[in-house]
Amino acid sequence: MPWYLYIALRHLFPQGKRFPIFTLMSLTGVVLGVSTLIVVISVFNGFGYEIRSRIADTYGDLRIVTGGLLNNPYGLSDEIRSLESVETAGPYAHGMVMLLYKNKPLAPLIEGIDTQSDQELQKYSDFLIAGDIDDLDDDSLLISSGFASQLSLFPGDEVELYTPLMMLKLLESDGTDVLLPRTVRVAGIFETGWQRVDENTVISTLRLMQDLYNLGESAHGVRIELNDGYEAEAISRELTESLGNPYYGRTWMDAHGDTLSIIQLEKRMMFFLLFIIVIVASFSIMSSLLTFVIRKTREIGLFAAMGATPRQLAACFCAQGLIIGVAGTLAGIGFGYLLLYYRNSITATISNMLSVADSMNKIYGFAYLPARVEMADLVVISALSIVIATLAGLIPAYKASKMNPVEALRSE
Amino acid sequence: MSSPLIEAQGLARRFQSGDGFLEVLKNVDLRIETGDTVSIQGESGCGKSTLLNLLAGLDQPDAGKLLWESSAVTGFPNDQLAIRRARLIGMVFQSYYLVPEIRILENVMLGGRIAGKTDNLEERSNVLLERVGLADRRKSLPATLSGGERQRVAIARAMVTMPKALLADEPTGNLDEATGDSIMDMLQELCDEEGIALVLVTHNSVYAARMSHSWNLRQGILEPV
Repeated sequence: MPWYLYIALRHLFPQGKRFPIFTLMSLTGVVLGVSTLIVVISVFNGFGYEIRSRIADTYGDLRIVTGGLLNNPYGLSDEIRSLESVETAGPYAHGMVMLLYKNKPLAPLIEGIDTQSDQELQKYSDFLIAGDIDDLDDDSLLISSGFASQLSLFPGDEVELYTPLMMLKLLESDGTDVLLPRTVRVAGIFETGWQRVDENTVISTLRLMQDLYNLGESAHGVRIELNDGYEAEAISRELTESLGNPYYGRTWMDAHGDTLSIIQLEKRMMFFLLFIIVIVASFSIMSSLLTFVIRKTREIGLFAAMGATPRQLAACFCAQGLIIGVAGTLAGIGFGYLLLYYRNSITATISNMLSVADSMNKIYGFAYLPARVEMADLVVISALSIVIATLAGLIPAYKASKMNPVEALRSE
Repeated sequence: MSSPLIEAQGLARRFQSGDGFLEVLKNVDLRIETGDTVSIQGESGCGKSTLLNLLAGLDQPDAGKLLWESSAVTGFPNDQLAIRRARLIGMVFQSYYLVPEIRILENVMLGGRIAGKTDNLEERSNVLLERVGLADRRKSLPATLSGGERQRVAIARAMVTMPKALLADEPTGNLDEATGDSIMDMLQELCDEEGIALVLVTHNSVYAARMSHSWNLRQGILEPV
């Protein structure tokens, strides 16, 4: 190891002595900046990832639609399912119904799913909090938890469904027809953890939706789940091209991109705002190193007398900035991971102290704080922090290199 | 006559003092050859240390020329001067200047590391510590050593690069008489053994008298004693 790096290390971490306070303060600044950045950015990633995966669970990664009805949905589903990048594909139909229970009406979104697909059933089976997925048939529904609690519904209860088509028929008959609702049973109650779905959605079989909307054998589209959801855009383009008019792909980003765009924008804003902590830390490093250079003036003179070049002297102090940057960043990553590991306990404690325990679920639709560390973010945060800390060492290094050795040796 | 290790030709140095200039060195000529022992005496503030710094290339003269091994180094860029100094000259100061954050052995080795002489450096450092009687303190920190012991370490550090000349600026100035005597004995002995030229700046006429050449600096002029 070159002597100037060795001395830089020993200035910061002396042999057989206590940890110097100046090293501790400089490191603390970088550790706090890096760990805060990692925690906040990872939480934003977590929100994005959770929302994406919940959209994928309910909407699918991609849907093939025509703008109208799809006449041969099972044939098209089989064709799409044979593609290597596709995990599963099945027809769906969706719309809105009015649901009446004990004279209390609500208008949820309804989605008819392909009950021939085991994966589709298994997914909703995983979300079930009451009832049994095997009870789902053409005369029953799965009700989302928020919706069920609004109407105090339980598995086995019977509800009445009215569709827009029924209303239209009633209007066309000038009031001579009697409006007969479809009575269906509650087969189960599900909860995805995403409030947007859990508040206002019911799931039926595709057959029931085809009956309610008078679709015959048609469907509104094919719902696709991919092996890699992040490939949705590319595969959507491929399918749109290969299937030709009138088919076109609509990805989860097209449908819910607004939510994710906001999260991305917030993530970028938070990155710039929180990076100020690292910049403030770099000023602390600079001021500590400047003080240190003054304290070590005679030592700098000695090194020059022993044959150290001005460049080596500069490297010695610049390296101290670099070492603080590297050590602070590594410790910051470790501390950040630790905070992320205990994030839910920490947020629960804070929420309880502030008596806002349920606010996260209400506002964000998550019962816990999601987090996801992405390598690209770690690389950017680490690289920028190390560069900034090293730059902070440049002015003290320049000052050291420009010292007159004779004056340095004479200094008191 | 062999070619000199260090040669000063008409060196002059002046410093700003109030509105005028204070001429500290006037037309100083000095020749130091391999194995020479040279003392420079003079009153406090007469310019002894200034002359030593000029000879070491740490300071630049206002006039005159400095030659190291017969080549002029006056006006050399600092980087090149530092590299040549590390090979040719070792320095010992009154205030020892040990690095407090590293152990004694590392302090001695530091001299070799800076000079880029890293072959057998640890072995040579250990030998030198043994020679200065501090082999058992090699793992101690400078703060735990007495003044005399620190100066011994500083001497070992200066010698570890195997310099051709050792410039010592009042090396016993901070020590009591007995310790000073032992340091001087050791310094001379080591220089004799290694054939190193010793330039000693001192107030002590007894130490000065031990040198083969003695000079006195008075009002900027260097005169033989």
